[in-house]
Amino acid sequence: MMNGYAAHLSYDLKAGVRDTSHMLMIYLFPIGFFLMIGMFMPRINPEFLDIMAPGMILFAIMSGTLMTIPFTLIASREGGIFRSFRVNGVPATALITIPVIGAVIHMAVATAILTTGSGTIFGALMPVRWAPFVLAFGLTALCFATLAVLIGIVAQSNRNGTLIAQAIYIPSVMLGGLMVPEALLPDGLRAAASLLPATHAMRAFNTLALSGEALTLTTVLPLLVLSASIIVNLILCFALFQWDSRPLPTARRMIALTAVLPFALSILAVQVL
Amino acid sequence: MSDVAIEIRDLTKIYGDNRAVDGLTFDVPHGTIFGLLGPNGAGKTTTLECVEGLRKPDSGRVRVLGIDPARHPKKLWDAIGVQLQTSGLPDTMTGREALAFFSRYHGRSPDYTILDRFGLGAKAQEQYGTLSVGQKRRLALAIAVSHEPQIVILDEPTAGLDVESRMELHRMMSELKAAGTTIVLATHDMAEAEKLCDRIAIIIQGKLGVVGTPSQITAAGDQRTRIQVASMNGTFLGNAPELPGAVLTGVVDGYARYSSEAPSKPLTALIRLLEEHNDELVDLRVERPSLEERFIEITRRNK
Repeated sequence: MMNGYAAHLSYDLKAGVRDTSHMLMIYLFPIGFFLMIGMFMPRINPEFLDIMAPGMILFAIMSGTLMTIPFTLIASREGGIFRSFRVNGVPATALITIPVIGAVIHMAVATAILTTGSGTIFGALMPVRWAPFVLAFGLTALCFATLAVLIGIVAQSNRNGTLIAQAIYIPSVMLGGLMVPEALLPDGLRAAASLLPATHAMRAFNTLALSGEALTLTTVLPLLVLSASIIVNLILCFALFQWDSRPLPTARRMIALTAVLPFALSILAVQVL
Repeated sequence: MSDVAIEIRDLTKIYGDNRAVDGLTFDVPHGTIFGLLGPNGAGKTTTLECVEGLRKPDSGRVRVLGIDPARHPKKLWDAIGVQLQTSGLPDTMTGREALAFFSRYHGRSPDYTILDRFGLGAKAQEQYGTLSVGQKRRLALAIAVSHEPQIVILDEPTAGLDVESRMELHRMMSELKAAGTTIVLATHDMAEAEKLCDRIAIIIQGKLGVVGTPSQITAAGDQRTRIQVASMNGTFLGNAPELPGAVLTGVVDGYARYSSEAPSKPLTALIRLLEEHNDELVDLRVERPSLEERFIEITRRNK
């Protein structure tokens, strides 16, 4: 017999498909952006083809997590859905992990489309090593999905959630190496970019999967940072989750800022290495 | 098994400076419909949330079927069904999915026939967001009872419903009671409480105002009967005559209104008066104080 968790996950996947705004952010928007940018960006900057596949994958992951998950969670909390779930024995574990698993499954589909399209339609650089590519995808998707759940838990309202998500999304697109290679950024901005998960995701894709660099502490560091971020995000999600429809007290919300810790520490680690 | 389904002793819940529930004590007997009444902010929902395991009491004892809700919530949630005051489902979830979803979490196979029983068979595949308020409430009740709980807790289940939907929910509650389910019903609707409940507790400012059967509660208050009379030739208009054993309280909208502690004497006199004046009776109303009036009386006294 299917248990509650499996039934919940099954519903979550179906809900993602039924919700047109989710479909837009998970599939239509990233794929549309990919096709549009693929038509002119390689003419302006031919080197863009070297980062096109990971850049577009990361764009899709950020859109499909930061722009969807927080709002579903905030609406569920405010609408008393969490409380309905609670009195029927739905555990907090399910409410935290199921959106993450659902997002990773949707992102895997979007990634397959974008990777294939980058190579076949635009002749973009393809991974030379697929195992690190899949690993980089998995960790990136988990990192952004857990971050999105954390935003959904700590945001006071939908508007507040939008502000927090945009505060990560927009700098990530501009500084994370999606459009412009990280090496071309000024030194000051490169340090700031290191605080963004997108930067580490791009490094992971570029060094190990696309360039096929040897496994060293330096090349593996982005994967370690993403892994540490996933763990920190999950710990924060479980520690800060609440069933009540009221928002978290400000002091507790501020604890969520420790999510930036793995990225801040990575700046020190790079200097040491 | 004890006759008591829910036992509450000296329950206290404090939010900051506000004692939302202050030393509440009462029992809910098995197989009854127990009404929880009180004005807004009286502490009904907080009391229910302590019973449902959603809040931990600051002091006192709550036992539901012998279970301590604060210590064994999962065990409790398999034994009770709850319809919260502010509860919802995801807009994209269908009734059938909702039933399967919650049944699985209760470790059961879903019994979809319950949707037919609650008049939702034709709506089973429709998404929650498209249902009417009445249909949403019926679905919430269907989910609350789908795992065959011994106790069902309903927090204002008929608020905002039209008359027909309300009657439908009343019928469902009566059926559940007939099947042996204990129901705790928090409501603002006095007529609903008087009609459905076997016992009622009125909570005022977190404290127990009164507890008993609806008859006991109304009998304990002001015992004066109201008599209202209107006649064809206006015997009771203008200078309305005095009636023995009754006090004239006014003449409003063509009716003379009297108040009496023993209405038989003034009623006999009233009929005689009509005969003497060759007048005909148009309308005669004899009303005992209702639960609503008793509720207002208790609320005012306690404020």
